[in-house]
Amino acid sequence: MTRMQARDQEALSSLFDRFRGVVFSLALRIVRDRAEAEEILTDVFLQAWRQAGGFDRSRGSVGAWLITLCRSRAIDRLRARGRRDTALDVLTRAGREGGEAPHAGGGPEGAADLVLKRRRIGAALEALSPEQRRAVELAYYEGLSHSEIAAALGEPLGTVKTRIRQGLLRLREKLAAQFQT
Amino acid sequence: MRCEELKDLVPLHVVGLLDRDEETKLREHLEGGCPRCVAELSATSAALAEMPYALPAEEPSPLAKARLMAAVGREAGAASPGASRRRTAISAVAAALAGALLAGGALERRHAAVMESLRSQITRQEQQLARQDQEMTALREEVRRAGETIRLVSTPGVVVVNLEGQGPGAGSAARIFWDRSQTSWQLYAANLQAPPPGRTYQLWLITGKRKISAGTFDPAAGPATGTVQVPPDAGPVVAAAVTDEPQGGSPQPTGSIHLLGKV
Repeated sequence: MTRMQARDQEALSSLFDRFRGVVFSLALRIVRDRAEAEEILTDVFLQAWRQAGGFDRSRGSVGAWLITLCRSRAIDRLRARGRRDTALDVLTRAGREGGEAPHAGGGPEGAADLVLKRRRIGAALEALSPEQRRAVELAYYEGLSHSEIAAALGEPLGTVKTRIRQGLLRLREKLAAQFQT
Repeated sequence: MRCEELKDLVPLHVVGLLDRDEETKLREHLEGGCPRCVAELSATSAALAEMPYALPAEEPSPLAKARLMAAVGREAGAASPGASRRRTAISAVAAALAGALLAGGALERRHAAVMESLRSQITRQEQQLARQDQEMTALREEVRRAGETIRLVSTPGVVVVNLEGQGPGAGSAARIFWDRSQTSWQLYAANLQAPPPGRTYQLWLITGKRKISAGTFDPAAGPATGTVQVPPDAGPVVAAAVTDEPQGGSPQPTGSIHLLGKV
């Protein structure tokens, strides 16, 4: 990032190679269109290049920063194009894809590092109840509002809020616990 | 709202699920710098940012990187026209394209098609460049000869010799421009047939005492040029002749005379 801040294009190139897989996977998961996901991918790295000077390491990792930029852009697009699926569609799809296993590593972010990350997040997500996990995923990947999630899950608003809050806390605890072991 | 209650809002805030009122209150609290809630926010955001690692791994097309680096190169070029930055951008684009070529099998078909069309476009342009190079070389040679002709014709004291077809060369004609001071000559022939197989044309300058070789030439190659030294003791040149001789020429004429003219 220091090199990026010094306008070193090679640094941007390395950063792209390291994080393109996860950023693209996230964009694709949200917008479900390869061409659009690629646009988001390049936009995210272009934004990172322009705003490298404002990046503050103390507030989080570069990867987390890129992922946050990507999610926000992808959700914006989803909302802007008004193509957001009905809550029912989302629910059906979420159910269908729920058990899908991530591909084995081999990504660009350092295969070993990536495998480790996958294993950690996989284990942490396992610790969530299916309801918590679904609520968190609907909020994170679909950008749905409270009431839409409530409708999708057929649960009262208060329950949905509780599920998301508890789900995220649990995710945090599990990830933190893995760091400590 | 108490700090404890606000802290509970943090998880919903990071996924963008707070209503406007709650959002404003939490923001004010965070901007106020509450260390506990700021830490809560950063830990929750970090955990959430791990989520995408659980997704099925997907790879973008190598062209995405090419587009990114080209965009960055354009920005850098606009900000400061430093050649090195452009080079970096161009080499990154080239690297991405090379990556695209190498990863051909894994590419979507349309990308493979794009690369294929780019490759054949490059080949066509290379062929066109090679043709233009050849044309350029030919034109340079033509210009050089034309310059030589102009120089010869405009030199005072240049001798013009008209040759007429003789024997096997009947029906042909030629004109020689001979610059005595520079010892160079140029010969323009008309209707002169190619020499018999295995033979070559040779130009001779003839004095009362000697026949002096001025060199061999090929009429098919356009205007012929050469140099000739007439020894001072050879006497005045009275005529010029073209004979056919074995390849490489002869010290003295041996073959038939094709062209002859008085000086």
